[in-house]
Amino acid sequence: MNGQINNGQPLLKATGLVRHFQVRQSKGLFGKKAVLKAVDDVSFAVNRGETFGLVGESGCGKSTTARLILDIDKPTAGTVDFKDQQISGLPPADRRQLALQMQYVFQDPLGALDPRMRIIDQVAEPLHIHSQASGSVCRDKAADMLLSLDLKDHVFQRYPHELSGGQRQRVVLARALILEPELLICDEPISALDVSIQAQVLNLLTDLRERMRLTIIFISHDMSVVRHTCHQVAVMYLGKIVELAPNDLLFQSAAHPYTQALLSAVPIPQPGLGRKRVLLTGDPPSPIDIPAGCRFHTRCRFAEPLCSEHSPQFKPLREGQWVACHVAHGDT
Amino acid sequence: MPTRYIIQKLLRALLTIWIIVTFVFIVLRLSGDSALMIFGPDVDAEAIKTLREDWGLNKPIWQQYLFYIEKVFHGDLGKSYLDGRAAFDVVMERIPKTLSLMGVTAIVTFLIGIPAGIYSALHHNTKTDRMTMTMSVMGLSIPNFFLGVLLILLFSVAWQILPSAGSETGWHYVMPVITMATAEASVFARFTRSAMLEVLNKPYIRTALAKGVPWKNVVREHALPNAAIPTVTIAGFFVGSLIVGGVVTENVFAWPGVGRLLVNAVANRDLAVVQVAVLLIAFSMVATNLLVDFAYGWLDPRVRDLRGEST
Amino acid sequence: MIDMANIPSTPPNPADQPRNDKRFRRRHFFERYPLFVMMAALMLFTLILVAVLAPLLAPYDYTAIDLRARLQAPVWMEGGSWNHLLGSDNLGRDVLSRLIYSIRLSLLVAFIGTIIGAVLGTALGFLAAHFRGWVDDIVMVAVDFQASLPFFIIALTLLAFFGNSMMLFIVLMGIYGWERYARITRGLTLSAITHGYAVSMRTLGATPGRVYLRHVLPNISSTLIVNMTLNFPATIIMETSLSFLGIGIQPPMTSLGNMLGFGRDYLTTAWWITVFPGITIFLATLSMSILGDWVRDRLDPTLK
Repeated sequence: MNGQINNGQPLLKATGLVRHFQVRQSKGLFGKKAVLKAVDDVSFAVNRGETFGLVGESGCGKSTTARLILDIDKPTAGTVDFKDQQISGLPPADRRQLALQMQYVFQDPLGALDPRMRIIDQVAEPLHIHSQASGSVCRDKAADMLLSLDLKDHVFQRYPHELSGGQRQRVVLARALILEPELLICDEPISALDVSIQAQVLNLLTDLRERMRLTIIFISHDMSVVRHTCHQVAVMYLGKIVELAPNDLLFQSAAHPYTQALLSAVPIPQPGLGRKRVLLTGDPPSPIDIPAGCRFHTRCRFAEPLCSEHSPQFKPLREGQWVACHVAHGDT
Repeated sequence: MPTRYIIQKLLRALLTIWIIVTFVFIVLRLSGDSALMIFGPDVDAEAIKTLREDWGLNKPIWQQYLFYIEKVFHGDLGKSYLDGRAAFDVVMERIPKTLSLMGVTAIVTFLIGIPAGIYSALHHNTKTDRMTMTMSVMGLSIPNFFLGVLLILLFSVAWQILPSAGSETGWHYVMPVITMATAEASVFARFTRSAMLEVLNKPYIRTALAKGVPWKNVVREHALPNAAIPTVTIAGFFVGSLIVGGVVTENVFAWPGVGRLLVNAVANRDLAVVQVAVLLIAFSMVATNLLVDFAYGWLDPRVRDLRGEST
Repeated sequence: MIDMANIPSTPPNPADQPRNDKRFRRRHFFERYPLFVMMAALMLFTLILVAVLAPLLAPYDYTAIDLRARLQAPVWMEGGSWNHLLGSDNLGRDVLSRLIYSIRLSLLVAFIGTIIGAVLGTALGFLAAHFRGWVDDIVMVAVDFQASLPFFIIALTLLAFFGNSMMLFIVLMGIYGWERYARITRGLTLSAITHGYAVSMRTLGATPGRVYLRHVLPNISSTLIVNMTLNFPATIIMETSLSFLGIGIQPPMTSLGNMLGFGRDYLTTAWWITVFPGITIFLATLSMSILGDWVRDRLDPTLK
């Protein structure tokens, strides 16, 4: 995969997104109050036609970021712009209209589907919501969509629990795409599937992206999958983006120590190839109690004294590659 | 049991009591002139004026409210116009009879209902199990007042071997207790059975058996204690059910308890007595639920460790 | 040696096999509808029929007094006559007719009460789950209050203070049990809206109303229906108990409860006045309980 596809203005822009949760630290009625910083100043831009990867460990804030973009959750601060218009804080009616342009695929396909509705009706449902077209017209469109995703017609009258994982995920995709959105946000779309099915669905996504000219935000913790599908990749750690780069730059010359550690953990199907594994020491800190300075310094093998004092700025290292690390920029 | 848990439950209980007292107050104010209500229409105009002032009924409503709460704490809620004495005394003197009836019923319920439920669960899907379940469905479908009337018909009218009214001797207890205990024992049988069945299906029972522990021991040491936990939770409902059942049963058998008094007071709109009885019942229920919460917290280690909320 | 070329690349999916449903269903009809349940359904159906056709079935008006035929025994006993199949009461009123009209009134009250409670409770549950915040707090406080006192006592209090009127009584039967619906709806709705299909529907652009009515409600309906099958017999018992004590349905209207109550004075001389309504209440509650159990067993394990 080569560099960015730059077609002018970014399709989606997130600026300074912040999401803090008020929690009680010790349990019970009189626990100590604390702030859980799930997303702490996240900014990025997604260009039209590209697949933008958002990676990180569980709990780093990638799903929360997706929820902020989709307005499932309200940001504590920050804005989101879609096609150059601010969409955070839109009135509900306008937000519902936005569904025609921006859609979302869950990690858990069974949970995303209404257990009591037949497959064909679920895929037709978005059409019912947004248009006055008759039942049979909507159903026909839904049937076309399902067929194009390689689902046979005997599946149409079934219920979600009667389908396999791969089939369900394709149904969820069909339902999301029937409105022909421009942006599709996929949150761990293949993690819940068997490995043999994962490749199928991935190829399907790529295929759809070409056919429907989709822009995709792909959220995952699996670096090898991201390498295969994404043009640009942002790496998140404890609520912040620590590195943002085009595919080739990231995977060949990752600058941030965390990215390097993630990459070294990816298995390479070459038996006998000796590799130096970068092992992270210590436990990941809790998002309630974020370390001072650079939040990664407690586990970083390059940590310098500066790293525990000042939080590194997120700035460009070279063309297209942005990093938040004192050591990478040579500030120490 | 963590202190936090105790305090939480206590606060909830106090809140509930406060809401109930407020509810009674609101109903009292909404239903008309309280003075007339409480003291009856026979009291003359002069006395009413004094009583009004005494109760602060001329003052703004929030003051009346505080007054009322104070009165509740002192148990001073007016005079029963049917009886003439203080409503509080009238109600209190009836308590022992009601408690004795409830107590005997509870004992009978536990002695019959719980073993029946356990036995059914242990012999799941056999004829005995099905029969017990059928009997318990019938037991809780028959309205207790009808059962009572039938019993009277049979034992007092037809065969004349049991007394149908009053509470002097031990024989007087037989029919009322049967009336109340039938429904209660049926509920307990069904509940204990399903609690036991659920526990018996748990993986740790299978593990114990696989380890070679004899069945009897498994039941005694693993199944029963764990099945006891949910059973504690229906104790609160049980007390409520006993109270309600008692009200009706006392009426059928002319039992001189609080229940009979209450119904009489409702029919005759002797509101002072109604107030006292209702508040008394309410406080007993709250106290029972609190004890159940504590018992539950003590018995179930998961609750002990289960902490409050995180948003 | 296994020929690798013949093994399909993906394992066969059981969902792709067509099924012969119809033959399967016919064979297991009686397994699914046991005898007791059918009998209970029949009983209930008969009662409902009687209630609906009351004016056509009752030989007399329920207030028709005939002082010459007082305390007459049922037809099969000594002193009975075909004029009064189930005997007559102290005012010579026909027990059978009064029974028929009582069934009508008691079932009607229970039915209306159950519906009101279900609608009210479910609506409040939705509101509490949707708006959260103080709306939720108020609803939960109301639920707690309702659960802290036996409803019977609350009903007694209100009937004492406000006097007994049909309006108040119907309202009371209506709100009997609302809190269980509210709790169920609130809980299930909360879990639906925080993850799962409700979120998907919102993302797809559905209004909250549509999400609740077209998606959440059908999914929680089985639990609500199960609750209704519990609430209905309980409402019958509540109404008949209060009427029996004389503080429920008042004469001249006749309910199963107050028939029993008035008959109590004549237990030694005319037991039929109490026994027949009593048996009817018992049969109504029993059949509803059996049906309810069956409905619950059917809905729960097959809940998808």
